[in-house]
Amino acid sequence: MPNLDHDSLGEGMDDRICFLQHQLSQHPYIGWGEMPFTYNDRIETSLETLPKKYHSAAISLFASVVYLPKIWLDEIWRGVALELMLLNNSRKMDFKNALILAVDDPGILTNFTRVAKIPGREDSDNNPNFGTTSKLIDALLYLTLSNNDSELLNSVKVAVNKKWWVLLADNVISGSSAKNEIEKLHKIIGLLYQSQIICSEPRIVLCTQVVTQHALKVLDIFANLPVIYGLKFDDTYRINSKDCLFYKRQSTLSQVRELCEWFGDSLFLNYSQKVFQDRLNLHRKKGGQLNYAYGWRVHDSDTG
Amino acid sequence: MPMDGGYTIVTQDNCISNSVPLLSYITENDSTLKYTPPFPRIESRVTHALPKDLDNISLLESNLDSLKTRLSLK
Repeated sequence: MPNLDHDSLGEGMDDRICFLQHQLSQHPYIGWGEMPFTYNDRIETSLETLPKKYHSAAISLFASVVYLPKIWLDEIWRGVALELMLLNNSRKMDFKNALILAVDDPGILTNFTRVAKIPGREDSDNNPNFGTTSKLIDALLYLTLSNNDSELLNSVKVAVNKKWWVLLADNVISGSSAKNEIEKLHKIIGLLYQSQIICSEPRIVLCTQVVTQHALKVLDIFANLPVIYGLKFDDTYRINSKDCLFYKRQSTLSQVRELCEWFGDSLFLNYSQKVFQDRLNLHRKKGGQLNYAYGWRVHDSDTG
Repeated sequence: MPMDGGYTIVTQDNCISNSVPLLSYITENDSTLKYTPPFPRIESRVTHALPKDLDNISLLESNLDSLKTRLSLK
């Protein structure tokens, strides 16, 4: 094992890093590719470019990672599917009365149905596979312009008459993407109902593997929205929250924050690449910190 | 302090964008600071173009009669 002084701040980081090391050896991070890295190797490489005075803080931060292997997340999808079934008052979960859409990535839907063993994903008579809210909107709009696509017409008829509209997201951290998607679904449902295209309003359900307490608050604006999730993280899991509970000593937390600020100041304030500048500008427009030291702004209505 | 991310959550597939950048941010070649994070992140969005969904919903709203005729579900 590399000779890293994990415990210079007296926080018992060795045990945490050993635990992460074990998790990562069993379930390697996809971004590492096929290289046989250990967590210690990764930490050593990261430390190489950080000033020495921040090494202890960096180790404390790296020891505080909450690592979620796919095997856990798959198990969560199975649990979510069971809860969905109960909510649906059904003995089995299928697509017959549910339109399932994913936030951003239709791949989530494939993964969810596979691991939760929900049959019929490709039965086009029961499951018009729109994948995302955007695709559903596109299909509805296309139908207003063309009446030559009978297959699409049938798919839309089946979709809009489902009793449940289920929105899947792998994680809901800020709540803003989920909120935007749900608002769009409400608008579509409202239009279809007002114009008597549908006789009753379907119920929207949000399902996710991981949610934050913050996101749940953001989603509170929707009365009676069922949110089915596996793991919930509150502000004790946030480095920049006054409630952070990662460390025994306040001084460790202060040093970790100082490191984050240094990283933001040294890197993001001098960043020139246009693609990332666009991202930073959007983050700042939402009220995010100028130096992006803690990552993406969680929601534009936050006051801190 | 603003409510920027601040989480340390990493899934096996990717580090989340609301987690602290030190965990996942890869510096570009022209950057003065060269840094290799423990969990390099793959960005799902490389551009931040505004979505057109809301415009499309407005268009849909102004063409609802046409949609109703097509669907003929009443």
